[in-house]
Amino acid sequence: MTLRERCAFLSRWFIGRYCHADPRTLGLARIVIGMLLCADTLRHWAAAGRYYSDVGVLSNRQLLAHPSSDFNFSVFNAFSTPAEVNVAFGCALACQVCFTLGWHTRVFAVLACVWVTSLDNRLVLVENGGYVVVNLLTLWLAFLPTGSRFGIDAWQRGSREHRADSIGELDERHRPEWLDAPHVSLASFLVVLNLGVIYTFNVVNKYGETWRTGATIHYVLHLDRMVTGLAVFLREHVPYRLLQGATWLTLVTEALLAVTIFWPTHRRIARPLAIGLMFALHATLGIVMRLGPFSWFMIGWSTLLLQRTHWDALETAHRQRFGGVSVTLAANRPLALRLGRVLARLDRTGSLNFAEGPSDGPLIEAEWHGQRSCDREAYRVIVRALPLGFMLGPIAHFGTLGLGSFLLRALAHRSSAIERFFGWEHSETPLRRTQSFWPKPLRTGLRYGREGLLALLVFCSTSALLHDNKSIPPLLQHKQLKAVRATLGYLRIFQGWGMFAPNPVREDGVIAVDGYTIDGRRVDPFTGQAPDLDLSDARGLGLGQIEQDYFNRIRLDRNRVYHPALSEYLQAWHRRTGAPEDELVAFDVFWVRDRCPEPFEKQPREPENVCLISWRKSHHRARPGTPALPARCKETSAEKKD
Amino acid sequence: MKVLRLLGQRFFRIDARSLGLFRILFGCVLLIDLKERWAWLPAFYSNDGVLPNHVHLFQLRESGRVFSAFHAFSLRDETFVAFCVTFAFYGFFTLGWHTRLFSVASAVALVSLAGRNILTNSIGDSAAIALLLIGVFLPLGARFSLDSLRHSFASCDEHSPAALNDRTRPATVETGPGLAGLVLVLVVGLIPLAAALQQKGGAWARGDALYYALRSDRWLSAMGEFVRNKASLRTLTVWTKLLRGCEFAILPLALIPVGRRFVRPAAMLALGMVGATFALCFNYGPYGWSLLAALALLVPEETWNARRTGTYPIRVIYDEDCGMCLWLARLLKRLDVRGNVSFLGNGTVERGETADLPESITSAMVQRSIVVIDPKGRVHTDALAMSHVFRALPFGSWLGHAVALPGLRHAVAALYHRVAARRLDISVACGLGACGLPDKSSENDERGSTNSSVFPPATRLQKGARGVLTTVLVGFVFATFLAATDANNNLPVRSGLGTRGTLLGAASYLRISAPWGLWAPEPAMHNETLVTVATMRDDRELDVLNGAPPDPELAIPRRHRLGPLWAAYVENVHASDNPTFRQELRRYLTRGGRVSDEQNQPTGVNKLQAFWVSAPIPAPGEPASGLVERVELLDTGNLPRPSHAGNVEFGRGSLLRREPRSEK
Repeated sequence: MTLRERCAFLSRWFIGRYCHADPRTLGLARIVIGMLLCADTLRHWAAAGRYYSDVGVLSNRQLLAHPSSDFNFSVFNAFSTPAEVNVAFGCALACQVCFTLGWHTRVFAVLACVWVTSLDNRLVLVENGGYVVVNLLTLWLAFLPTGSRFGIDAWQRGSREHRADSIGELDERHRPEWLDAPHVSLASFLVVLNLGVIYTFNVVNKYGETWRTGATIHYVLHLDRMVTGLAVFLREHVPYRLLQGATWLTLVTEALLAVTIFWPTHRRIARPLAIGLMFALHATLGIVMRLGPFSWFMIGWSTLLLQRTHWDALETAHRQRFGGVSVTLAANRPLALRLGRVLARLDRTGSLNFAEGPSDGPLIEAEWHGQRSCDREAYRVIVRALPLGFMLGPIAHFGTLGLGSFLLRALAHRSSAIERFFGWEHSETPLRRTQSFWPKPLRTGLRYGREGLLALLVFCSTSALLHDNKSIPPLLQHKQLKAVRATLGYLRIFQGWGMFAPNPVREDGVIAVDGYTIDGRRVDPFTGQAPDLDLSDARGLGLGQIEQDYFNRIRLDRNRVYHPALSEYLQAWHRRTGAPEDELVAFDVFWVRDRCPEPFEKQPREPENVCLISWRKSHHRARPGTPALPARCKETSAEKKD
Repeated sequence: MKVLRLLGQRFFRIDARSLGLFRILFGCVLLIDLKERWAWLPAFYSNDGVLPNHVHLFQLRESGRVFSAFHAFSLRDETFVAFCVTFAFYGFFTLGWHTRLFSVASAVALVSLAGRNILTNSIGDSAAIALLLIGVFLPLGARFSLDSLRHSFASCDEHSPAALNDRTRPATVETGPGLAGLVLVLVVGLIPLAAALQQKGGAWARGDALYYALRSDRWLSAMGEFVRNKASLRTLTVWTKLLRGCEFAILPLALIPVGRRFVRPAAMLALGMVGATFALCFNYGPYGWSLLAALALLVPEETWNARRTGTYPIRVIYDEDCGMCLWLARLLKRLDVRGNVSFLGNGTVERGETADLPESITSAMVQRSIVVIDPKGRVHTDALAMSHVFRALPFGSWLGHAVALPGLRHAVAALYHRVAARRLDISVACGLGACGLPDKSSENDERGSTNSSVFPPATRLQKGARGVLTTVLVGFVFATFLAATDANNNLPVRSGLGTRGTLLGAASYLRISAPWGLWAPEPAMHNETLVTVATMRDDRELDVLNGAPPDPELAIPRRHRLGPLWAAYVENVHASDNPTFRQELRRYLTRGGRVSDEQNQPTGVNKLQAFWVSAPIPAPGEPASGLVERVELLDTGNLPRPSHAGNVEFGRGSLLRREPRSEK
């Protein structure tokens, strides 16, 4: 074997192993990640008034005056008032729904990417590793043909290319080439590579003492601003030794994940193992801590690990379990033929066989294991034989408000009227396959352009990888080019992976506002309750991810520039509540903090309140009977070297 | 019933060809307008300019109701990208590619451009936005567009000369029936009418209005200056009266439902007169040009149908085995709207079926080249054949003659031979059939589906629902237009919508401020503008708005023609008592104004003064008084030399503080 032949062999091996993506995998990933994107958008939408509008803690004008980084662009900056911001979120959600449904998938994948990065750039204060994961995932998906299966685009393409004109033709099982052809692209490799890189560096960067001693989970469970109620239960009831074991198990799991994702052989086992481990790890993390999108999107990302062999195995299993259903459709009935077409298109596993019945017989009949059924029972048998059919039944029941039987009866009895309504009684125009209007070289050129753009992103991502990770030796550290910084900054696709690395934070804290209303009450506008300036007795603060990350970042010295915006927000509290007596005449904003308890201890240490902002309404005179306002506290830095 | 249908056709229909032509013309207007704005990108659309985005948003926080996607772009480079995207939107709209989508995108872009700096808004922005917004609801891409071409290619897949010669047109959307057609014509007519109704001043009565308007340097174009210098007072008086008369006449003439072959040209003449006056002699942004583009809307169906057909009949013999040749023949068929071209396959000659063909046509000739038989029966090949093909196409005569010129003809022939020799390879590379082997699509039927004239109830319901929705939306946009017109104009007749907060809010968001009262009640009697006197570090004195020596006497009109953006901006910033706007203007000017924009770095301004200069325009026939009033708007005194200039990255406003940071 010459060197050239060896290179060619290696190249073929590599492309065959890592650059192929099954269209079914891409379709599934689109649906899962699209739904997660919708959920994440709804989560942010719920906080839009406080965090994303001009009546919130950081209006667009204040952000534009003091951008959070050199390269900051957000479509949301064009939307000011709460109503406008609602429109923006509506547009974002619409794009993500269209992406999920696979309608004009490529366009909406790009638009979803724009909205996702815009949302992140609008309030970088609340960004965490999860946001970067979302940015990366949507970016890579924009380069992949995720709409080639399980979507409206795929359905329309199939309808354009083939149509069974008789019940006999339904059984021919037309299966176009594009339905199963794997997608070969650099993006297919990158999307898996990036996943492996995340786990690799998450392991490599965890070289701190707490990981070695196994105390990490103990500390993390005591971060009241982040944890859920389940974490409080665990830290109070699970012995320290078990938590120690869990810490090491986490490290081992992440290391195993890095290996199984890249493992080139036995992928039929390695990849499902990786998916299982990812699900177990992130589901645990997701229900114990409020980390925002991180856990759920990592689970979503794991769907991209499925291989063709897994799909084939699933199809075979499904066919063996539910296959062999004979569907008899009434002859010369356009409605029956159309129903048959829909079923044949949905039945990609070949579980259904079609036959022609008498024209005056029932519209549709089914036979399975010698049992003949019609009407509702027939539909039940047929739907169950379709992929994921066991889920379709309850969904249809729910969607029709329990009127499924009635609707099916109506469909059977009123079939002639339905055919007339849709004009189906006339003969159909012949199906014409047309070529693309655009010449082939243009399409080829676009493909090369896509790969070139991916190569550019690989360059930027590699630079980020070397620049952002603590474990990279100084020899490889470098000064990034402006173009690279711009690409990474605008798209927010950093590659610094090290959650709780090298050691987890041990300082717990929250923002508390000690506000004085015009009628003499003390209130914290963030909670609406009396201010709580003691964190040591907390059993989880119940804060959402946006809230807790905003509190954690606004205290930092570099974000002092945003303190006037926070102050403005607090001063306008009575306008939001609509109660004039809620007007604040004074407030002190504190960073209320303590230190997580050491192993085998339960009580936090070193509780402290740091004054960040102190404000008194000028020329204010206290009403008779209300207590005098205290003196302004001294504003200091809340940053503390660990 | 017949009368009603006729009225419906007359009022609610615009011919699809008129709409297609309007789209192309209006798209060109948008592109020219964008070019004008692009020249002032740093000044008006970036944070280096007269109004950074955050300052603008801060000023709008109380009044609100302004939206601009350009607020999201801060730096010059970011804004450049936004302009490129806008250019793409306008370009695709003009070409008619996904027309509906890009007409909406173009409308959003235009509204955003207008909303980025409300001090630059003028009558042109409002007029263009109103026309574009209503155009969104019309099938602007049904003709003369890539969409129609794609649709035609998809619906009729010809594979033989007989199919190519079949000119029966498949049923398409010929017109845009519905409220939108009427509303668009109404808007085109109402804008000049609203202006005419307010032009009640003495200058209009005397016929001096144009005389005065032509002496306001800020709004003048180069041609306007030429007209001012050359036209006699009598000419201007007649022109003034004619202009106002035309403004009054457009709407009534456009709405007369009978005799349209004669009434519509009259309406077009009036609209052309008004549009050309404002487009050529003045610089009110896209105002005059939009009116000129709207001329296309008034071309009636009868005029289109009366066009001459078969004026230059030619026969084209093409290679039947070449996919590319067939594709070009199909394209040619679609471009040949006058039906001049008939097609023959080269197989006809090879089979010897040449009874009606000149004897000089041989089998070798048709294998080697395209062959054209011109109206006189002469046979042409290569470049000359192409020349005759071009001559047979609409607007192709000049190109055809150009291709036939010696020199160019030889170059085209050489190029033609290179392509022709590789035509089969190119066909294969482009995915088209070649070598007589039909591609998959040739299995299909040649004719498109014959659209049934009777739609099933479901389709009728769908069409009806879409029609109702469109009507509601068009009605809302028109109501918004009327509300803004009511609120911002002093009209004798009012619609009563000018007090509706919702409609005024929508008008504000859409930037339809409707300042239709141009030169009303009469034009300004003073020639006014902003003049800056900047003393540079090297002791030169410059006007930093135009980079030339200051002209505080307004003696050189050319120097004060800075375009509609500056003309509107300086007027508004002078009239506004908002100190922030002036502060930002001062910041921009002290950095060097346009001079620094062009050099992309701050210039060394040592001292700067800005004056609002006002010179009274002498009455017709009287000499200039020579009195010039100068009101000082800014005086910076001696500016400190920026010590840290080397560390400041140009492109960021002084209020911006950016720190590199990783927030993760």
